[in-house]
Amino acid sequence: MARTSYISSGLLLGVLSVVMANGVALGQQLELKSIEPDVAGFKARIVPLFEDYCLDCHDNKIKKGNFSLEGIDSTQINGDGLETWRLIREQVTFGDMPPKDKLQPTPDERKAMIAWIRDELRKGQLPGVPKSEKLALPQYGNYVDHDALFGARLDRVYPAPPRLWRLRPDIYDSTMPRLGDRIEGLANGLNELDDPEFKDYAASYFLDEAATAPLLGNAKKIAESMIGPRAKDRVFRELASDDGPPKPEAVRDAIGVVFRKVLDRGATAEETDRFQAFFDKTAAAAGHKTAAKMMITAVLMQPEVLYRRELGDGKPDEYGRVRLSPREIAFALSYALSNEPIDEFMKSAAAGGLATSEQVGALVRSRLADDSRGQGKNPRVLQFFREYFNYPFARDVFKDKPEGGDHDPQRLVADLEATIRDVLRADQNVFAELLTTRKYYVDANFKNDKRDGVILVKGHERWSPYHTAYNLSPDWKWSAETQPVEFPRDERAGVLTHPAWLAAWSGNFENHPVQRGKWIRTHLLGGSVPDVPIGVDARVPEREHTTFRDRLKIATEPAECWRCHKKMNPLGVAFERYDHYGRFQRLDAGQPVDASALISRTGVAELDGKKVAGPIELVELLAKSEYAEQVFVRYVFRYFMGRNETIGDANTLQDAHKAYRDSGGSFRELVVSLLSSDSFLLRQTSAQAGSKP
Amino acid sequence: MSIDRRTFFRGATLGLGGLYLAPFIRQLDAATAGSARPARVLFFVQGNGVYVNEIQPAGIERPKDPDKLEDRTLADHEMAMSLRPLSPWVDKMTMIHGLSGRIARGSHNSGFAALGCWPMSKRAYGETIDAALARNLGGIFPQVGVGVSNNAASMAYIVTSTDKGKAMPTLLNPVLALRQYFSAGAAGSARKEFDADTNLLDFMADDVKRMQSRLDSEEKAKLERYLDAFESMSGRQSKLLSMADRIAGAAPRIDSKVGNIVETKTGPTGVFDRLEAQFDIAAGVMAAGLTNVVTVTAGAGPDRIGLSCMAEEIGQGSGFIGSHAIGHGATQAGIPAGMCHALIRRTCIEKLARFIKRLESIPEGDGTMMDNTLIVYLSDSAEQHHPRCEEWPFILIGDLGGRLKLGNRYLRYPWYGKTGHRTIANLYVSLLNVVGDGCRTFGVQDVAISDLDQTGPLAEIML
Repeated sequence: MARTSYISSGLLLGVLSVVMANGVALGQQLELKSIEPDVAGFKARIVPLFEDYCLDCHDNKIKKGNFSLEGIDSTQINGDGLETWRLIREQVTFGDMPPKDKLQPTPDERKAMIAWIRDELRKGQLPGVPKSEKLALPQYGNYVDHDALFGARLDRVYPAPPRLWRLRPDIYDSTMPRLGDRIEGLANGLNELDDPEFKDYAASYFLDEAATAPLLGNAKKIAESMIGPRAKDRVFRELASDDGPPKPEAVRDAIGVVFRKVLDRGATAEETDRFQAFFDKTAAAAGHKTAAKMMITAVLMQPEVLYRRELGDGKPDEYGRVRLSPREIAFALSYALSNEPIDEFMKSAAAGGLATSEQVGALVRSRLADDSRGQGKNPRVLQFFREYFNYPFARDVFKDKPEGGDHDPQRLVADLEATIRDVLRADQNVFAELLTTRKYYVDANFKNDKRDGVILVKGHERWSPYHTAYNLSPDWKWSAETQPVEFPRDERAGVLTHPAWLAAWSGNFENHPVQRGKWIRTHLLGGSVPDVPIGVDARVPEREHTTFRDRLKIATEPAECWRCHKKMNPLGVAFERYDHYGRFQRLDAGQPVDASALISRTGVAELDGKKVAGPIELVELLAKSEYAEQVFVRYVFRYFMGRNETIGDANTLQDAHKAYRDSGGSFRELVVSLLSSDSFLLRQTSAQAGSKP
Repeated sequence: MSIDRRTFFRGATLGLGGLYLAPFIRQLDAATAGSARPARVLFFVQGNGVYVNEIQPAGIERPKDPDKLEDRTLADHEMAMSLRPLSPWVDKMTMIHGLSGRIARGSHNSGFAALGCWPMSKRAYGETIDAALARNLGGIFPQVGVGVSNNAASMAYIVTSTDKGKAMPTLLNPVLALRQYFSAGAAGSARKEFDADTNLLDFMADDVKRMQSRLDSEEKAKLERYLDAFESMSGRQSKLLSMADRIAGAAPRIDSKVGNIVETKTGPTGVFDRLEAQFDIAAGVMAAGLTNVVTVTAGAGPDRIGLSCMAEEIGQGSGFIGSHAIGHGATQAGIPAGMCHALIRRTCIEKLARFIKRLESIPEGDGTMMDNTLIVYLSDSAEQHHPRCEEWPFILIGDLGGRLKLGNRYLRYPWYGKTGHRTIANLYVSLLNVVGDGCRTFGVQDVAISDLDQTGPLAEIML
């Protein structure tokens, strides 16, 4: 474990005992039932400390910094008081409070306070504990205690409860039109969040009336096509025949077929009866053709079609954990890697080949093998990097063309993606490579050639000064032999210094060190930054002959701003080494650029206090950090699980990280480990959660 | 007024006008008699393109940073070219300048914040003004959102929300909107389908309940809104059915071709044909009595920068006109940016004028539907391409059945930060106050001018 905490090691919350088997420690057991707030502990251990060191300034009377501890509710630590308590912990942990000129708690008192808050917060990070909607969103994933995840090993994985997961639009768009004959123009009823976070989270979406109405329209359109004159299935043609209403047996046959086509399973006897009754009722009112359409529409609108089901099946194990059904596993694996059911998984499910984690792991490993340059076999893999780094957003940041240069975000994104594909294809030290590679493709396009397979050609025939975005001279000539172009070590290193990423995290006219710093704080350092306070409209002042760094300082140095900005600005300013188009710069506003940066407030001894001269040093340092690597593993977990981790997933994360390390930094092995983990395959049923056998 | 509404009503020259026939008008009259006058509001949110400098009436100066309120008549001043289609209604028209909305500031647009008065980045952060009015005015569909965009999505969540995180859709395909709101009034097979729909919705509600019963509480809640969707659609069916004649009478004719939306970067857009159809939908849902609040958008929303189009569509030459390019002053299709903006705006305004004529063609009480309607025209990017939101121009048409002191007025408030300065939130408070909502503030106050009173309505427009 690389992380050396400032705080006392402390026992995991609610650890009952170390579970032993044949004299071997299996790990610590979590007690999921004692999650009641520790009111007695608060009164006995925390209140006296507040009284001695805090309340002089932070009572209702003085309320310094507009903050009072009087009447603070310890039972709301995982409720309405969450942000307040997190702030207190941070201020005490990093020595911000009490102020230096005031009476200080002893080191033991400080530790005790931090430990109590940490343990209380961890109660909200256990699996199956009801959380506010907010905490289920991806941007709050880092609220889960890193030490608890990568510290002591648990006796087992404590998986999340069964769940429904609204279908991803990509899946809908690729699977639905195929049901009928050349269906086009389906309405978009499945929304996607615009936040720069992972899109496909089970907790993020629901189907309301606004979504249901267009989906219903789509379903009718598909149903019409399925029973239309060009219908592929005889049973459907019969159902809507011009020759008159179908016989009851024909209706029953059709129900079976439509279930198999749409749901990939047969209809139960009860379902057959129910849908037949519905058919008959509708036929009586509107004729058999309309009834045929409505019956199929009803199947297409089943919750089971629009929600992925991960409910589990069969007998719970001794801990109340139930395994997903083979069919659920096959869908879950398919949609983790692709936007449609993957044949080999579906077949394995039918043949009983998904019974063990080893079988699942082997299948996923074989599926992930991909030596192609395009790395397109499993589209969700590259999609992870799109959503993690969010570089495609460069296309949405509008900029004028720079004088004498060009800004073509489409091309920048395509080029960065070509670089990422190379790293994925090699599949070695993927995390560090992505952060440090100096080999960028510039205006490259991979084309399918009949004779030579995939070949590299220039992206755009017409000349433009596009390449000047990489500081290549205007008369630089493109050739396949020089691709990918190797850039000087002091100029570029990896994704974060690529013009596409820099443009994505920039404004229309200027750099955006705050967002860049926030990205590093969250995506590499596992930290968090509170939401921007409502009503804040801080703008960086215009000032001639002043660098952006200095102007940003003016805007954010008031104490109430700096409280949060100190977590972002000292990291993000490293990228002042580039202008907002991503071009390397030595001068800003005519002044020499200061790109020095500081890592602080991580709680990780090997990182805190590290000063770096510029962006290259910063990313190289982070690429070597085992802690940052663990944070990366957490993000990969979230993306593939479609949810935030809980403390109960500790073993899964540790195993995934180990698989990554043991394989020399193989992203594929990391994914294999996650998709064959108990977190992925098991669900905790409510009845026996946490109980011992 | 220069237009004889009776002519429009009787003649079939306007297509839709001819459809507004006697039976449902009698119902309308009956509904109106003896009760308070109806109140309807239409918001028209133009994406990036109502630039304050480009819409100034001739002969009215725009002093820099004014200290005083300017309140004068409008009728003697020639409209800017882009607004000229509204000239016939100058007596009903009020231009309000000088209101700020800094809290909503975004880079090219403010999306929900334009109607919500909160930071743009918060997206659906609370109740937007159209939703708030809808809550007060009621209706089978409390609020209807339709609009056009250059992308091919058939719906989007962009400007309206009823609560934090509860964004309301804007239907971007008129054919979809027609199906959504007017099926109950359809004849023949479409009507049979409506009946079959009722059957289907009940069956689905039953099915969702069945699945719910097999789930734990958290996942059960996830299906709750899906169940609600079927139950509320099903519940509405019977209400719609009882109004079938009226809906049939008000249903616009929409050419199915406008429903084929092709998204290209440079190709034929059809945005104005779609916008015309959407205004017909807007008039139709109001005439049918389905709603009292409609929000029409044109290229608006958090990820939109106004409308791109072909030069032919605005009556000038040929070639593609990119909305972002003209925002940055680029000549497109050989037309200077300012002219592109003006012509795009004018073409949109022509569609709005058509809507006004529609409403004027329908008698209501002792006047017409338009008499009881207020149109609120604004851009979601305030005053310019990269808005500062220090001066957010609004154009109002109508006076909401005499509830507001509006018409033939030009109002410009003292500049941002000066005594007497008001914000768009104060305008929204005014609208709410006259429909019975006694609120004093709306959205989030601007902390940068916290020394000014930001509460209450705009006194100048209250009776």
